[in-house]
Amino acid sequence: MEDLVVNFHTLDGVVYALDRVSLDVQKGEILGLVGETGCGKTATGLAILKLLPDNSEIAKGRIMLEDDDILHKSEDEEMNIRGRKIAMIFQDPASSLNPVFSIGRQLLDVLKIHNQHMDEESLRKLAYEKLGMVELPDAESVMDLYPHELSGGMQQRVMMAIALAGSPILLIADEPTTALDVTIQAQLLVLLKKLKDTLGLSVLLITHNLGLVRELCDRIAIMYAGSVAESADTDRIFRNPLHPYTRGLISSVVTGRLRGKVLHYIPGTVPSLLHPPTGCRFHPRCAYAIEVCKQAHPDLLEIEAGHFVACYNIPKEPWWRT
Amino acid sequence: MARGIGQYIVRRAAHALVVVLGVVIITFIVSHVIPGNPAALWVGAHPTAEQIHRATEELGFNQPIQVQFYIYITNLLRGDLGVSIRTHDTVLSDVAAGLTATLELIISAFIIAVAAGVLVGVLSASHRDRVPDHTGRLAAIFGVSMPPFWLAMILQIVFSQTLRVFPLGSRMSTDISIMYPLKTITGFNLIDSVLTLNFAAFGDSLWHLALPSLALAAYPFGLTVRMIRTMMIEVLQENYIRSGFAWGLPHQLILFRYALKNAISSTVIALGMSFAYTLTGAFLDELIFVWPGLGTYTALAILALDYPAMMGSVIIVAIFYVIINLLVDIFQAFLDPRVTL
Amino acid sequence: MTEPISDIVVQEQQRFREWRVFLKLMLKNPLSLTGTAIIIFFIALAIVGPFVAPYPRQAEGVPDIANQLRPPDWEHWFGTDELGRDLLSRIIFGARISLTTSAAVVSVAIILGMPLGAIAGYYGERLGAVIMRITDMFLAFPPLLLALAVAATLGGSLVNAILALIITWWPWYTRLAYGQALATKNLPYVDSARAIGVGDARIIARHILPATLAPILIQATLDLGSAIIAAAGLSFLGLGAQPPTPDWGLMVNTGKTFFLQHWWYATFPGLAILVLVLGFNLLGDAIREAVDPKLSRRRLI
Repeated sequence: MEDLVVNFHTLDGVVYALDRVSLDVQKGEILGLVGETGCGKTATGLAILKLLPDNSEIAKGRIMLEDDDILHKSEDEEMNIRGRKIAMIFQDPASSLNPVFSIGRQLLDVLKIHNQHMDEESLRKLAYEKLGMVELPDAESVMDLYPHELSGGMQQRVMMAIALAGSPILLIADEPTTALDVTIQAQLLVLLKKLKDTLGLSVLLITHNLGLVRELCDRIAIMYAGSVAESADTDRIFRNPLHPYTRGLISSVVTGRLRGKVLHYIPGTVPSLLHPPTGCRFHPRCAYAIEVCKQAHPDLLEIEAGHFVACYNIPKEPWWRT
Repeated sequence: MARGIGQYIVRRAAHALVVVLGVVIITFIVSHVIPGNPAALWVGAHPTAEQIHRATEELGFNQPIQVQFYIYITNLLRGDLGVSIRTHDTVLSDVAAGLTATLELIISAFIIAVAAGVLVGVLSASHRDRVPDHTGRLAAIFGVSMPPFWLAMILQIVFSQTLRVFPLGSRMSTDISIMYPLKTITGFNLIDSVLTLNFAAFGDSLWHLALPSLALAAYPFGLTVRMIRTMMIEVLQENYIRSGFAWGLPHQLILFRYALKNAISSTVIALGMSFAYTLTGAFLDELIFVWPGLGTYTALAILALDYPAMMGSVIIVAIFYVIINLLVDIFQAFLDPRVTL
Repeated sequence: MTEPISDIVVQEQQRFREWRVFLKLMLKNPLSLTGTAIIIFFIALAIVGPFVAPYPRQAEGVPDIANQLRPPDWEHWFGTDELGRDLLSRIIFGARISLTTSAAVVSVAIILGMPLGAIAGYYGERLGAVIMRITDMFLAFPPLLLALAVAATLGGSLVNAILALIITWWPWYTRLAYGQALATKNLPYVDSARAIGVGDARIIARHILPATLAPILIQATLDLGSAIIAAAGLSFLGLGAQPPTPDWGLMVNTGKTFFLQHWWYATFPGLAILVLVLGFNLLGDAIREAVDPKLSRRRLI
C-alpha cells in the first residue's frame, strides 16, 4: 500500500481518516498493524478489499498485489481478488456470519464460487478439509449447525475456514480475537501461526493489543490518527522504538514490573479526524515537537535497515525500560 | 433445528385458541350487548312489534347474559350462524359458497403484490437514494394511499370501458360458462379448470381475475415495498453482508439470497397484517366488480340490514384471520430459527 | 445505579442536537416537503372552504336538478352530481369532514390507548398481562371488520362510524406504548427516579410517556391517512355519513351507480381522498426515515 488517502463524507463534514498510509506485507510473514481505536487501522484493512462504506472516497494512492495495482480494478476483476487472492476475517464472528444459513451452506457457497468446476461431492470434501485446517472437530455435524449454536471461538475458526476457502495468499485479520476470551485468543493465535507456517500464508493482523503482536508478528507497523508512524521488525520496535508516539505507547503498557511506580501515559487525547491537526498529527501531544512538525506531514523514511519512521525530530536519547 | 419448532407451534396454537375465544366474546358483545334492542336487528328491516317479540322468545334474547352467551357459543360450534334475512339460506352455506371466490381473489392479489413488491423493494434498497429508490418509494406510497374502491373504479373505466381490454366484472363470461361449463371441485376456478382440463374456462377466469386482483394488489404492494426496503437497508448494513462481499460472493447472490432471507423473516409477520388489509379491501373491491364472494355478500347484507348474515361473515372472517396469522408465525419460524429461542 | 448530574445534562444536550438534525433532514427531503404542503393545503381548504367554494349552498345539499350530471366545464370544474350539485364545492366542504373525522379517531384512540399501554408496560406481570391479552383480542380482528360490525350495529351515521373506528384503532396504540414502556421502564434514570421516591403515576407521566411519543407520533401521522381511507370505506358501504353530507366516501358510493356513464362523479372525490392521504403518508414516511437510528447514514466502519 502506497500513500493511501481515504476520506469519509458524513453529515457532520469530511472525516480525513487515512492520510497517506504506506504498508507492505512480505510473503509468508505476519505484519501487525497496531494502533488505538479510531486510528484508521480497520479502514486500512477494508480499503484493501474495497469494502469501505458508500460514503467513503479513496482519494489517492495505490495498492499493489504482486506488482498489480488492485485499487483501480473494475468490479468484475475485483471478484477475482476477494476471497481468492486476499481474504479477510472480522472482529465479531457472531455478527459476521449469516444467522439464517447453516455453516455448511455458507462454506459451500463460497467454495462453489471459487471452484466452479467442482461437483457437489468434491466440494463437500473440500469443505471438510478446510474445517480440518482450522482444527474444528467433527466437521460433519458442524456443517449442519447454525452460527448461533457455536461458541465464539468456534465461530472465529469457521470464519477462518471460509476465508481460506479460496486459498488466498494474504489474510487480513481485523481484531480477530478482541471479542473472545483470553484462552481462546491464545488458541487462535497458535492456529494463525501454524497456518502461516504450513500454507505460507501472509497475514495482516490488525489489533490494538501490543502483547499480541509481540508474540505473533514478524514485523509491526504503528498507526496513529490515520497514518503510519513507525514500522520495523518486532524485536527492533520493542528494543529501540524511535517515534515519540511509539515510545509513549510502549511505556504505557502495564506490566508487573511497574508495581509501586507511577503509570505512564501520553498527555492529551486522540484528535478528531474531522478537523485533524496540521502537519504531523501527533505534534500537539509530542514532547519533541518542533516548528516543522506543525507545517507538513513527515514522510516515512528508512532510518536504519528495515526500520521506517515518520518523524522530523526523532528523540536522540537511547531507549531503555525500567 | 427441529427441536425448538415443535414446541413453538404448540405454544402459538394455544395462544391462537385463546385469541379465537376472545374474538367470539367480542363479537358476542357487539351483537348482543351493545344494541339496545338486539332482537330488532336480527329480525330485519322495519320489524313489527310482534316479530320482535317472537324473535326475542325464539332466539332467547330475554334470557340473562350468561345463558345468551352459552346459546351463542353452542350455536357457533354447531355451525349455526342463523338464517340470512336476504337469501333465506343458512348463513353458513352462504358464507361457504362465497369464501372460495373471495379467497381466489385475495390470493391472486397477494401473489402479485408480494412478487412485485419484493422485487421493487430489494432494488430500491440496493440503490438507496438514487433514482430507482425514489421511483420505488413513490410507487409504494401511491399504492398505500389509494382508496381501494376508487382504484377499482378507475381501472374499470380505463381498461374495461374505454380500452375494452378487460371485462367489467363477475367471475366468468356467461357464454363461456354455457359452452364450457366448469365443474366445481375446490371452488377455485383456476384450479378447477386446470384439473378438469377446461382451458377455455381457465383463460376466461384469468381474464376476469385480472382487474380485480390488480386493484386489490395496490395496497399490499405498497406495504411490501416499504417493508422490504426498510428491512433490506437494515440488513445490508449488517456485518455478515460485509463478510459475504469479503468472501467474494457475487452481488446478486448476496442481495437476493443472503440479505433477502434475513429481511423476509421479519417481514413475514407484517405481511400477515397486510393480508388483513387485503381482506377488508376485498370487501369493497368485490362490490365494484360484482365478484360473487364473501365481500359482496357482506356488503349486500349491510345494505339490506341483514344482520345475521353480516355478523356471520364477520365471525368467520375473523377466525380465518387468526388462523392465517398462526400459519404466518409458524412459517416465520421455519425461515428464521432464532425466533423459537 | 443512579446517574451523575453531568450525564443527565449531556443527555439533554444530545436530545437538542438530535432535534436540530431531525429538522435539517426533514427540510431537505422533497417527500416530506410535498407531504406537508399537501396537508397544509387541505387544512386551509377546510378552514376557508365555505368562503372559497363557488356554490356553497349546493355543497350543503341544495339541489339544482336542471344541471344534473353535467361533465366538467367552466361553470362546474368538477362537474355536477345527480342532483345538479357542484362537485367541486362539495369536495371542498368534504375536506373539513375528512380532516375532523380522522383527527377525532386518531386522537381519541391515542388518548385511550397510550396511557393504557404505558400502564400495562410499566406494571407488567398480572395487570400488564391482562391488559395486553385484551388488546391482543381486539388486534386479532382484521382492521375494518370490527369497525364494520360495530358501525352496522349502531346504525349508519358519521358519529357512529367515528366511534366504530376508535374502537378498532385504540389497541394499536396500546401495543406501541406497551413496547416502549417495557423498553424504558428499566433505564437508569427511571430507576433513580424510583429510588428518590417519585410516585408511580408521576414516573409514568413524566418519563415513560414521553419515550413512547416518537413512534406514536409517526404512527399517528400515517394513521391520519389510514383513518380517512377507513372512514371512506365505511361511508362507501353506507355505514358512515349519510346524505346529503358532502362526505368524500359517500360521494364515491353514490357515484358508483353513475360513474360508468359519468366518469367525473366518482373520480374527483376519490382523487381528493388519494391526495390527502398521500400527503399524510409522505410526511409520515419521511419522519420515519429521519428518526429511525438503524436507517441512519452516519455509519462508519
